[in-house]
Amino acid sequence: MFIQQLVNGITQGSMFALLAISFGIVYGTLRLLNFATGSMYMIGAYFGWLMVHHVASNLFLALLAGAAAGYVVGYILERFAFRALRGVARIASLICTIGFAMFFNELMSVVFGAERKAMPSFYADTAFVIQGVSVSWLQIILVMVAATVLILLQLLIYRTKLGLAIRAVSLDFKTASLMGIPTDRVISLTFSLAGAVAGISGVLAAAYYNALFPYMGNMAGLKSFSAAVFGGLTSIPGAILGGYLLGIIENFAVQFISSGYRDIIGFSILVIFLLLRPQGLLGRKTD
Amino acid sequence: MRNVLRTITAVLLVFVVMGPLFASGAAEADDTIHIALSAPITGDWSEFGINFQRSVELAISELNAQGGILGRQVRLSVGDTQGNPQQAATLAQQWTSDPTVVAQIGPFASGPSMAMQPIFDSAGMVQLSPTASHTEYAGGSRWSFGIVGTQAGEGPFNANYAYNEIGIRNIAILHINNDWGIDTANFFTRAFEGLGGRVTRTEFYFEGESDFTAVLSTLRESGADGLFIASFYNDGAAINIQRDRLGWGVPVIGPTSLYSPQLIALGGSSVEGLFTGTGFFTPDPDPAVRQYVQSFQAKYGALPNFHAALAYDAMKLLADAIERAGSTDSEAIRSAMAETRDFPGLAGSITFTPAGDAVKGYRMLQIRNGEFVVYD
Amino acid sequence: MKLSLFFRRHRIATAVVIALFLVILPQVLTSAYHLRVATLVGIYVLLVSGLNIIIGFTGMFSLGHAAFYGIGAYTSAMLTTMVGWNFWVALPVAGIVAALFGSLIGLATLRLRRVFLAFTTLGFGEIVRILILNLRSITRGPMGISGIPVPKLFGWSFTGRGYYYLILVLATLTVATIYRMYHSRVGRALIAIREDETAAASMGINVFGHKVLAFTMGCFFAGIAGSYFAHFQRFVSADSFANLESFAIITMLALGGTGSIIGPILGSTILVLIPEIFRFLMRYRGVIYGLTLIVVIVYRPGGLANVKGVFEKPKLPKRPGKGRFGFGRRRPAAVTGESV
Repeated sequence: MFIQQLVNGITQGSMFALLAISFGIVYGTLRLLNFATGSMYMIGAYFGWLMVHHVASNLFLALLAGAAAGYVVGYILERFAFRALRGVARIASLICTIGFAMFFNELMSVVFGAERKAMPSFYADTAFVIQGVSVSWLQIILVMVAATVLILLQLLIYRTKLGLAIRAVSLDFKTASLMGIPTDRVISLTFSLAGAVAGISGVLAAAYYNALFPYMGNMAGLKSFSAAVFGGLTSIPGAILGGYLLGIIENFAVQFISSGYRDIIGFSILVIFLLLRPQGLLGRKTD
Repeated sequence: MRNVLRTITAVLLVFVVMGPLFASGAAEADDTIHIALSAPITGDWSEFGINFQRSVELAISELNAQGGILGRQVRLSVGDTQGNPQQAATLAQQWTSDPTVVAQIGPFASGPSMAMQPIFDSAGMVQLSPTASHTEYAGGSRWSFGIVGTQAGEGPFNANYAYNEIGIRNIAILHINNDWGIDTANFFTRAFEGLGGRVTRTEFYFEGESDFTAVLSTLRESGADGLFIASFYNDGAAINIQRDRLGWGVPVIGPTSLYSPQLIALGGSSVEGLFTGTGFFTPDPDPAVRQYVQSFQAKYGALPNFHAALAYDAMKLLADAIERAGSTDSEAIRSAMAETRDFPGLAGSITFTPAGDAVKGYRMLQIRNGEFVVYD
Repeated sequence: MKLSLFFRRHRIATAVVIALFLVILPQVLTSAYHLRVATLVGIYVLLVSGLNIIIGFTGMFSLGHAAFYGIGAYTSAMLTTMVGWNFWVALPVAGIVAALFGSLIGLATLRLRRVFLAFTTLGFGEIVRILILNLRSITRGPMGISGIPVPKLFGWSFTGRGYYYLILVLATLTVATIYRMYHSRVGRALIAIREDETAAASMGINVFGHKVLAFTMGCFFAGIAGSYFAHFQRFVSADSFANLESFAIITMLALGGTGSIIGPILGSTILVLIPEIFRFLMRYRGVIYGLTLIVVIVYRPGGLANVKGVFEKPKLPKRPGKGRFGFGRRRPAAVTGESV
């Protein structure tokens, strides 16, 4: 039982972690709470599904399609809304993300229909069994994909020139632009990256739950917000840790308390935790 | 200058926005019978709302082709509740403010139905909900009717099958945490325990949940040899996929809301062997059902489900009640509605209790080789 | 001549005209539907104006306002249906209970800033909703509470027009209270905190106390709105107080304009009307609504109430490069370090 819930927690945690990263990089560079994260996740899932149904039934191609769709949506968001809103009170951008979430959810509902779509299962065979708990290849792939994306992002941000630019913009926008960093392009790229990560997470979720629907991002977006806050919002390792911890805590909450309190246990622990450590698990004190 | 322009724009915007609102109340006096439908056309429940709209439109086009009601053509207005009680109540006010609206069908969920009820009650308009099953709904007003059938009838039916036919003795229950889910679980529990069975553990989940692995693991540990799920088909499919993945192979039984061709499309092999009660199923040889399924599929390219059939029944029942009343007078329609005896609906015959609930008959289906078949 | 200046010069005349319009409105709106929409606007004026104290004046992010609305609604619904209290007693009690919970969140501001406060309020909203659903023995859970009595005054039951005038009185009292507060010591202290907390503290303003006060006040009005709503709709369930409702309230605030008195009124009027007008769009309503929201915000990020003046004192100096209360379009594009 313990192992079972741990496995569940880690699988769910991987998806939370990816979404939390998407949330975190946007927050890190623009100090913007992106409530459209869930929509990018949902759109990623839909494009992954389109790939599987109309091109090739391959999980990895679907992941690519989801990432590409998320990348484009992230770009559109930034280019047509947030660029115009830069430097303006943050509440305006926040409302804009809510508007986008509503727009995309309803758009997909009109285009693809409101009913759930079935996503075929991939790699559903058992990989190994520990203490009676079977772990499927899909679960392993899920964790591996999440880990790969997270490592690549970490490398990108801390080992490349582009990453340096992103960090500079996130620390001080004005100074960065004075130093000759093309801030517009950097911010645009950050948004697109966030979209791609959310898109990947969406495809993974659709494959794991075998279903996708236009409103699937609402709950996921909220959870990713929790996970990102848990980790401290601005740090990638923090978001990963936050995602996995949230996944594990929730699953054990069902086991030991009641399924009805699953969601608020996550929230309550977080609120108490924040009161003790307001900057999150691995966040910077200054923010 | 710019400020003046902005101000004028803002003022204009307000007027443009308000203008049509005040103009829209104008009643069109014509010779049609105006029926209103309230359903969640957008938002989380839109899947169900759109099916409502399709079924009611289908029923009306059939009625009109046969000469309408009382020799008058039928006209439909559709309003979107978004599944939100407050919006639904506003919509109810809109319908009752329009003197041409004769009666209202909908909405989908109980919350919005209950929020609309006081308005229909004071205005005196028939509120016929295809699916609202809240125990206080139909009895809350003499104008409110529900045709889905309460769990007081369905619970014993399912419990009897689970205990006597399938042979489950210790059952675990998983239900959605809304009024319907709670009622379904409670009535089933009462009936199942009355037969001598034991409920090992009852757990619930919230609307919008997608991960059931944790709760299923807990239920499995309770030592049940059967699982009762009170959920709609889309959650039902997800629950079964994850149950299957856990390797928990027990018989699964569920109520009518589980029945939908979508259950098999979404659940695949994991729903094989599942039992579900229903009053309606698409391969039914009954000619009325066959005709409905064929026209629905021809028109919308999808198979109807239990909820869609109920919306169709609601429209046909309303038409029948107006015919019997012989006029579009609200009070006459209400009495005719209350006097309905054995109306032949697609999802079971309809006779109202004094409160305004329907007592329905059910059949048990099982999924075999990816198809629903009647279980005998 | 600037239109806004005209309004500002003739403040009293404008106020009288608007007041007359609002009083006569139910005689013009013959349809019960239109009257109901006007009444809903009133409810949202209470909610959005309350939230404006927290976000607009004090600069604290709260994403869980619907929770306090729900607490007020449930308090009043339970007191009148289960204990048998009178509406007129339940109304202020609902406000006070909501205010107490508000002050609890206010206490959290001692440690939590900005986004973490936003998260806490959002989480609080979710916790309240789930508790309403789970504590079945107290709140009746997902069954909701039905049969909430109609308010009575001297043996006369409220109907459509009565409800309208009641919310008109409540909304007027709310706006007037907030207006007086805004131009008092307290209001100036709140704005000082929003603009620069450290500076405010060094001027001797009790920053923490004022933050708690702002939350308490904002939530009190939400509680009143909730109580009214419960008796207006006569059925409450947790669906009405989900975080989508919080988002709707904050959207009204942002669209109307934060930090002004007239902004919340404008925002709630427009965003209650738009979805009603867009009804004919059917399935496309959500798409068009979302798009409208994005376009309006991108076009007017400071909110519509940059049409200022009607109820604001004319003499507050304008700072160059900033919107009047620091919420307008700021030219030097400073991305970081903003408070709201």
